[in-house]
Amino acid sequence: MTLLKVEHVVKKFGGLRAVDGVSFALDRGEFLAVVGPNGSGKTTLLNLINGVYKPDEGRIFFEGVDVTELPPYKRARLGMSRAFQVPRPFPESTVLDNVVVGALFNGGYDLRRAREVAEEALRYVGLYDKRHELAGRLTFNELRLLELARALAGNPKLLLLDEVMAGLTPKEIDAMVQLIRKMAEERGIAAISLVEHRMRAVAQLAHRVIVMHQGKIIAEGPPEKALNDPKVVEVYLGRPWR
Amino acid sequence: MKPYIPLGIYLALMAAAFAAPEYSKLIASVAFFMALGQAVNIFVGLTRYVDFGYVAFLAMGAYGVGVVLTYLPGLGLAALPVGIALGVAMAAALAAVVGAIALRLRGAYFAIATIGVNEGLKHLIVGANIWGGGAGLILSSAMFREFGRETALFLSTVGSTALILFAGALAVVAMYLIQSGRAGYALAAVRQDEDAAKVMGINPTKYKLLAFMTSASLSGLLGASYFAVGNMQVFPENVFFIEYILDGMAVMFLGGAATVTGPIVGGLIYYFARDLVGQVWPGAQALVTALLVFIIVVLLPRGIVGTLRLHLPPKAREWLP
Repeated sequence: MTLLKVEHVVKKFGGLRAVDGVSFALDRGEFLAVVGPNGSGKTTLLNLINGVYKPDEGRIFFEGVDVTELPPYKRARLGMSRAFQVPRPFPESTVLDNVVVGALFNGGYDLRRAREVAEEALRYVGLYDKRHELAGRLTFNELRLLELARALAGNPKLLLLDEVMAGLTPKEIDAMVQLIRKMAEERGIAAISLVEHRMRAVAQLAHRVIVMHQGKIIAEGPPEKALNDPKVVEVYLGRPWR
Repeated sequence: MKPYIPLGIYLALMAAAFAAPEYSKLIASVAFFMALGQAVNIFVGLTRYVDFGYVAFLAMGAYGVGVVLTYLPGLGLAALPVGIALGVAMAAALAAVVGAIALRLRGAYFAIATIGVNEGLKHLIVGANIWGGGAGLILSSAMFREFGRETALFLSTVGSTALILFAGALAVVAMYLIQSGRAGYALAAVRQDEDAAKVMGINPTKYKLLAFMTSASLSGLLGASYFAVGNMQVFPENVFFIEYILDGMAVMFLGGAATVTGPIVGGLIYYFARDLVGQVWPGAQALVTALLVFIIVVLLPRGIVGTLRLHLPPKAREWLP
């Protein structure tokens, strides 16, 4: 079932067509990786989806509703959560309280339910044992997981992940990608993850890959197929993958 | 979080004021600093905004009682609750107006925007000669007339002390309710990262305004209790005295910003430190207390109670909010 539909969106910055006629659809519970070199238009595409930018052309539908003109906070209330590339925790609050904020205000739960939802989200990402620690004392990897738990507690239908793998070790990336895929399969939460490096993680676990280059989609499909497309190999990887 | 220890201290002091009226003025002087720190803490501690116009809320409270006693004769004992209610309402209304305009500004810009509120209101009252103008309002004869001599004297001593302590206890309850509800989470998020809080669906101005108006109302009650009821007079030079906000912040920082028990500890130390300095080196109180606050803020930025809480096990921390 289609959750998100992007129809021929264009975003221009002066003479540059940062996103140039991109169309794709995303199903409920699908984990999509958007791959592309720096400057290929990935982040602009993410900003168009959650409303930070409005497209110059094209429409965006979320659950069949045209959200092209809605501001980010209204799209957030419809069920889009975004995790930032650089985690932004509330460092002097406990890990649990950080997640409770997400459940209270993004998820709209009452206080009692919010605490339960938050504890469950922390168990889910594996931070439950650290729930009474101050968020400022977590490691970088744990902050990423906290960011994910906070988004999860907001009860999203679509998670937008902005390079959340950057800066993690290969082992941590594996665990993170497994977790996102598990969320997709068990909770039906769809995810769009931007990936610039670390093809290994993407190839293994995304359901589908979109490869972008100069604002356009140049390849799309299951990871093995998309990343081995001759065009992709030429413009992005430089040599046959694997 | 369990508010019983700070509430218990206020109740014990109240009992002491009734049991030993000869000490009631001393208790009032200490409790004034405690309650002021407590009220200031609800705004400054929870939002980390500084309001240099804050003392105007104390003044509004004092003028509420003063205006009712002076211009509405014949109310009898009802003049006291009516006057306090008017004072608290004026303080809350002033906070609503100032807050709705200025709380959208970040930190230092808010402090600068509010600097003129206190002086502006004082000069309005003195310059336009309203509410007694520069001469102020002398309330003793009105209080004798409305309440009877014995009751008026009792109210200005033990009654005023009890009201000041009540303001402090009420501030503890308000802090407890804010901290244990949605607003506490929202304010914690906003003061740590306002932009991240916004992305998570929090309306920052709404919660800052809630803290600001609560804090202002409690200061209105305190101003009414201390100046109007306790001193039986309201002089613009006294009630708009800008140093009270510095006292309030000193008490809060000594005890620990955003803690509930902090202002009680801070108020005790602050009062007796000033008293001691006053005996040894009269006139140097402001200098020495400034130094004391400076040292605390640099060496113990979380204050005494805030630092203590850091080293307590979670169970015990519940009891020392």
